Amino acid sequence: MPLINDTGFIADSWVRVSEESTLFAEQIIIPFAQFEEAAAANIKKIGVHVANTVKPTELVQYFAKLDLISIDFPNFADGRGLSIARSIRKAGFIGELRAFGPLIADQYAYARSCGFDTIEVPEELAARQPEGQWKDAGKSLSLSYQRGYMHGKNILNQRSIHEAASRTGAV
Amino acid sequence: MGETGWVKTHNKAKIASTADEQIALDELGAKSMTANEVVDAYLIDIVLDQHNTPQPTHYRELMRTKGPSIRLDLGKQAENHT
Amino acid sequence: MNALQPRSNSAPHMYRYDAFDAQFVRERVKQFRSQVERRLDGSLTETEFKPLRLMNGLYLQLHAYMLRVAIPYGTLSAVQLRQLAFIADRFDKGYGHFTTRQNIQYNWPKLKDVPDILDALADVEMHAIQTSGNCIRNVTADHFAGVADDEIEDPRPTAELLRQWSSAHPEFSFLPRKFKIAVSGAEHDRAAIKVHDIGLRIVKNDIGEIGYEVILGGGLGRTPMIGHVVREFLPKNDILPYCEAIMRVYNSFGRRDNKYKARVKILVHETGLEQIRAMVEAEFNSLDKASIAHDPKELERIAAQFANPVYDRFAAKFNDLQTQMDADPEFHLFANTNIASHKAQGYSIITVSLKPIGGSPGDASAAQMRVLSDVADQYSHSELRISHEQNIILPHVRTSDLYSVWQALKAAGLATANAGLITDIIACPGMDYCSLATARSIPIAQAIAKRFESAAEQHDIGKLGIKISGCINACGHHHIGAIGILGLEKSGIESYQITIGGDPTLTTAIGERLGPGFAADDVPDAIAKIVDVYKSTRTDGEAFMETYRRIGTSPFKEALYAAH
Repeated sequence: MPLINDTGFIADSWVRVSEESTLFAEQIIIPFAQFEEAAAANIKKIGVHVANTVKPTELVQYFAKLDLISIDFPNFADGRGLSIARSIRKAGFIGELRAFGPLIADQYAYARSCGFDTIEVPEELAARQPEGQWKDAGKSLSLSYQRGYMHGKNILNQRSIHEAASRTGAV
Repeated sequence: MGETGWVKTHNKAKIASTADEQIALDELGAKSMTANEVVDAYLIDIVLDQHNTPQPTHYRELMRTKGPSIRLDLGKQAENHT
Repeated sequence: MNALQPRSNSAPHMYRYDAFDAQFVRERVKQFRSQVERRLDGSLTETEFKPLRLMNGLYLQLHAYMLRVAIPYGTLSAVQLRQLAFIADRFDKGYGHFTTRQNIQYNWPKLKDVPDILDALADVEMHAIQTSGNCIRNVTADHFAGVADDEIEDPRPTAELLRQWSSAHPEFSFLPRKFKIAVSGAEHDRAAIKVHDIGLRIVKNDIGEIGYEVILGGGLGRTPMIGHVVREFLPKNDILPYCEAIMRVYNSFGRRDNKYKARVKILVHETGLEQIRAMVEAEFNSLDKASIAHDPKELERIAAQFANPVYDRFAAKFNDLQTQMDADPEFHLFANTNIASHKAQGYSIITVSLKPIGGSPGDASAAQMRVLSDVADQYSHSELRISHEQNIILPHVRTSDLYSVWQALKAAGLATANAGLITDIIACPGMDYCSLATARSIPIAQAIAKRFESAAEQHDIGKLGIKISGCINACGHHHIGAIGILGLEKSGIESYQITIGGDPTLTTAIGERLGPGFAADDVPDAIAKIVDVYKSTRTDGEAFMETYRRIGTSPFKEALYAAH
């Protein structure tokens, strides 16, 4: 399925392996339940796909062995995956975080802010919302009011900087 | 939905009398929604008045054909309001 | 010698956008403009567009679109109200409806005009951001904030901080359901904080520090619930991390399988308060608070802008009010009900009732909005408030000016002397406008008001709040009305259930249903019977709610349903 990051639509170097499949490539995304099995096989890079009901704390012990975590979005209006991403980043995961599901372009900046690197969307959706719309949507709000998130210029921090500057300037 | 496409008043609306006609009209509505011609299409229950004009039976739909009951100068009823 | 303070056209004492706020709102408008275009060209389906338009306050109603504009914490400048009047004339049908959540609704905008309306709002530092949708809604507060004589601290700086924090929140814009926050800083609760998802009460702890009591899980709607104290004292600087913790727990565990069970009140109820508290505290403790919390200087920056105007010390010398009241019985009635005491000596707070007998509760014409703007410029430091009772407040009026203000209001049909009385009825728009409604609300309010039209009778009955909702979603807050009326559909006709004993203040109570519903035409009689029970049972000086608490529901049930 089409894959999006800050540069636009990109090629996907990962192979998704379903529960039935036994084909293990070099760089695979498998259901979380199959992680132990894949870890035992000699695979270069492992990613897991998790439901949006997963407890982020359960993933922490595997962080060092995972290059990617893919979080399921059953529909675009279900924001649970955003909280999971934020918690996973908070817990220190530095690999690729991928949102999987019919997110719309208008959510791109939010997904990035919560810690996602890439979004994998259905073909039909990518056809309706081509690359340009994702790029525009990513830039549409250049400022944010929430501290501690990862995207956009933070207004509260900017104000603190201005305040400090004006204070030292005044002395 | 009238004979030649979507209309703004209910009195020229197409009427379904049988279950098959209902399905057909429903499908027409769904198609128009997908095609972005209308926002929200659904069937309503009607009776025919003495001029053979369809009138909604439910008070909500009746309200929709007129306008707010407390502002007769607004909504579709406004055209007849002096 | 101090120079006299200017009285007219002074700058309002409220939060003003800085360059960041202004840019943010403009970008949001531009974003919405492009979303409308992408809806029209088919890039966005209606299903996808719907939450986006709702998060900009745009509903599809019975006759047209409806645009809900935020009046954050109910504070409004004269300039802003004048712009709301301009929008009503230019893009709508010459009026607006003030809601129970400190918003104004326009009932007839065209989709193509909405981005222009949002730009017109941005011109006066206003917006429609998050007035609907499954996100954190417009933050509300005590409409007497900053001027009430029972205030510990002005709640608006906190509300403004939260307004900013919740705006376009990347993590909490696709919640299980809507989320409402209200803030109160006074001893008396005028913001109904116990029936909000989060109610914040500014309190002082044992050692005199100011912080928040955090109340979680209140709400009206289908399953009315009173909120629980989840944290007795939250230090001020922890407010954003603590809210983030609550929201993350709710976003992760709130039900998404049934929209009628998706509010946080159900999560609290089903999980249990202790367990929810443990989950929130665990999340809160896991956060790197320093990276999330606001700089204390930021709250100071905001608070400074809400600093009261410099009041005229000599205003306190005025002592002719009683003489003026005695000389004019009509003014006397108005002063009895529509004037509240101000914390500054010689000043008063005026409630301008938007409930004229026979009118639509909460509606104001563009012309009336302009009159109110002018009055505010001349007499109230250019500032107004919107109350959740759907009235407009003039917060800084010299007591010596009350009579002149009353005359100006009277000339514009805005001097109805009924604040807090039986005809000051809260009503949602109901089926006259709303597509969710199951029955009409406004005509019921009008019929009741006409029934109790006599000023003498209203004043004799005294304080009595009637609240009407046209469906179970309870926008008219019927659950917390001393008398609540809920309009439903019963076998194809409108039917109205009556509840009694609801209370929106800190002694919050959900009203009790008296029995089967009444037909629309029979509602005024039913209300009259309830009032008769009160009048014949009350002791000297006893208000309706006091009598009700003393005698319970039975006498009222009997009056309504006993066979004659």
